[in-house]
Amino acid sequence: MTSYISGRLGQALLIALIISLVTFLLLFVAKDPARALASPEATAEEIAALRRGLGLDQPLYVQYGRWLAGVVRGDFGVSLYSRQPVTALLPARIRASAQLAGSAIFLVTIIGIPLGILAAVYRGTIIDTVVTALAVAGQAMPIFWLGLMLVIVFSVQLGWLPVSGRGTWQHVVLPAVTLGYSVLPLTMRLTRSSMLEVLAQDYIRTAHAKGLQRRRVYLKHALRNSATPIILALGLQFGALLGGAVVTETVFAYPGIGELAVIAVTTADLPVVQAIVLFAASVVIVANLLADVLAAVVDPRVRY
Amino acid sequence: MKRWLIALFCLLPLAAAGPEDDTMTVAFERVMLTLDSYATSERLALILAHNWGDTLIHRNPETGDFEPHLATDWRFIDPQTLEVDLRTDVTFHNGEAFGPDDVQATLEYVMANIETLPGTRVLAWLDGVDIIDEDTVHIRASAVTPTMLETLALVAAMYPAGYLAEVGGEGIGSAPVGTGPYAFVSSSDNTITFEAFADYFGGAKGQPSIGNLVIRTLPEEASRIAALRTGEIDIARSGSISPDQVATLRGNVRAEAADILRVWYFQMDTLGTSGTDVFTDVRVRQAVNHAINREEIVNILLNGFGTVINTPCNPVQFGCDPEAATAYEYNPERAMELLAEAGYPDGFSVDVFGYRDQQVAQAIQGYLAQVGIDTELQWFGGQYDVVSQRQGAGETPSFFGSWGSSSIYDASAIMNIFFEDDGTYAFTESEALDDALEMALETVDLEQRRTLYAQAIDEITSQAYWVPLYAGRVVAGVSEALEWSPSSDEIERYYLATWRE
Repeated sequence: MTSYISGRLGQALLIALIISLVTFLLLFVAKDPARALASPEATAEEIAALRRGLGLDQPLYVQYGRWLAGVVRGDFGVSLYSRQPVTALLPARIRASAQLAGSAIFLVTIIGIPLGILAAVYRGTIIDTVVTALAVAGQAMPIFWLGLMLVIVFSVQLGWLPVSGRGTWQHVVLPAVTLGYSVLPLTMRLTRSSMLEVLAQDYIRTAHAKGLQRRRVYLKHALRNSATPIILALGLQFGALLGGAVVTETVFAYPGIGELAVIAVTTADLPVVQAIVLFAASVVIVANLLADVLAAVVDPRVRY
Repeated sequence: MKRWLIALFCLLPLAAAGPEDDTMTVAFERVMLTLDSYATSERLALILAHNWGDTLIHRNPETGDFEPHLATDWRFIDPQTLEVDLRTDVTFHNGEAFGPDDVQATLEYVMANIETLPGTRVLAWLDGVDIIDEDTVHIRASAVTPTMLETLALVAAMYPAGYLAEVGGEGIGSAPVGTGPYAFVSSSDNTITFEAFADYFGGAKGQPSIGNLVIRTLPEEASRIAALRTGEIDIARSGSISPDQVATLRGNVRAEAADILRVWYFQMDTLGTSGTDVFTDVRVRQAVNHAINREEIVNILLNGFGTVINTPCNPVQFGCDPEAATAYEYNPERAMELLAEAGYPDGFSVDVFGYRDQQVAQAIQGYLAQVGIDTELQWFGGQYDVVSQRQGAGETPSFFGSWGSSSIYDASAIMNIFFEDDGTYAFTESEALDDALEMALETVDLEQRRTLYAQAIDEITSQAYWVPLYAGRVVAGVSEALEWSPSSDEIERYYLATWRE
């Protein structure tokens, strides 16, 4: 296991670096950072001076090399847009996104897994149909629209929850529900199909034959044996959500990494974009790794 | 279960704006990552700087007059040197006394960062600041600068020398200290809090009536309108409410509008640099002017939130004389006659580039189609920095855009950019026009400048280098509990707000 983890971490570092290089190049292809930073009414001379002053006129390999050398020293540079150190901008936003992603995954876990189990156990019945319909609706529904509808109902009409922002746990509810709903269908369907596969196994039939309570059979035997793909999927989802719930954070003005990513890309704020990409890639990779390890813990048959 | 949930939510301390806690909450549509207005080209930082900071000279938004503020008086001792007398009774929020060293430190900070901080660009004329005595400074320009007072009044908020030396621009950006009506308290989670400064000197701004000012970020218009109606915010910043959403502002909120400096225009490639030479003929350009129904655009698409203009500038800008302009009335038949005379009896096809106000762009396409000009819209939604690069390089056969003149009430802020030979977006070749615009920047004689700009307007409009469309009118959403309205210079003065009885 230890050598497996070490190898995966080594791969992770390489992948993150490749992603950061691709991102760097793509940003330069898409935008002129000096022009994006300058006032919309800046003259050509002013833009050129800005480009010169910020070192953006240097060859790309020089700029990327400087950035990489800084990262190795723990210096992620200064935001071109706000002139704040990148290391000062990110931590609070990472915490906010982690809170949001964690809340969303929690909701998905306590709602999606039980619904998936019910759909599998009551396969072919009205329960199965309803759960499947919910999953399809969830996959088809645009997050943007769902978020705004929740605001209209729960904030404007009912006045129960705030429209946006962060500060109290009430601020997390609507964004978490919106974000969670985007991954709920996958969890429900994955749980259902994984459970169905296990429920067809002989040892489940044996457990029933032995007279065990149905709940014990489904939760202790069936669920545990079908947990691996569910855990892996949730791990992947958490990583993805943490790395950039862009739409949700924008709709709710939630001050997380996703919102900062939008600002940074729009303003071609290279140091911030690079730091966010590196962070997001690392999170996804580590989340995958943790999911693999957790799967091995839960299911002794899984070995690396 | 339902009753329990309702009861629970009723107990929740939801963030609320309003007179109960003497807190005015304003929603901005973009996140503020720095409060150092010199560090960014972001307008919102400048707006806040006028609320937590002060400039030497105050430009009255109603009259346009320059009024004493941190400065008690000023005079030009030569065309490039402004002598400024300073107040001696002003204190910064951190207790430092305001004086000439603060003026010098602030403007030297600007000069040192002209090439790295986007917000310093309109002060690029600065050459130096000399301290003469305990209440007098000389501010020197590198060349004759007719807009010196204008730019000092617009962007030059004064920073405390000691604090600036201690924390630098980065520190100012995260925790600003100024002399202004509102003192910075805290910033977190996209919420910035200010409180009324008890020792504020007043000056041209007067004393703030409301005790607390909170700035929140709500990027979505629907969220802003929702927050206004729930009372979570008191103001949705001007320009953040679309004209077609004004009808939703009812009940406990209202719309407040202001005519602004920004003008919308349709530019044509008069030199053929884009590879399309149709607009090199003045008759074609005049035809386009006749083809577009500007009144209809303003009255129907913009719900009346705009004013048709005939000048290549906003008539409120110094030097922008509507009497000097040739006006083209909407006349599609005349447009088709001109096109036929120019050799296009069946019209032609051309690309139109744009990045904002897509409905208006599409309306323009419709009007042009009616006279036989078929257009393909090259849309760069919201990506002005990308499309302006194409525009500046002369790659756009035609371009629908707008220009805010950086809130500078002088025709030079637009006309020299678009029509002087070396202007960033200038694609005209006229020695007389170029000379007039160049000379207008080299003198501070007001009458001479007026005459020169009038000559330029006459040529630009008679040659139909542009289609001036309309000047903008922006809408703010305001709580009925609040007495406040936006300003035409788009500097929002929250210190002028009061609670209604």
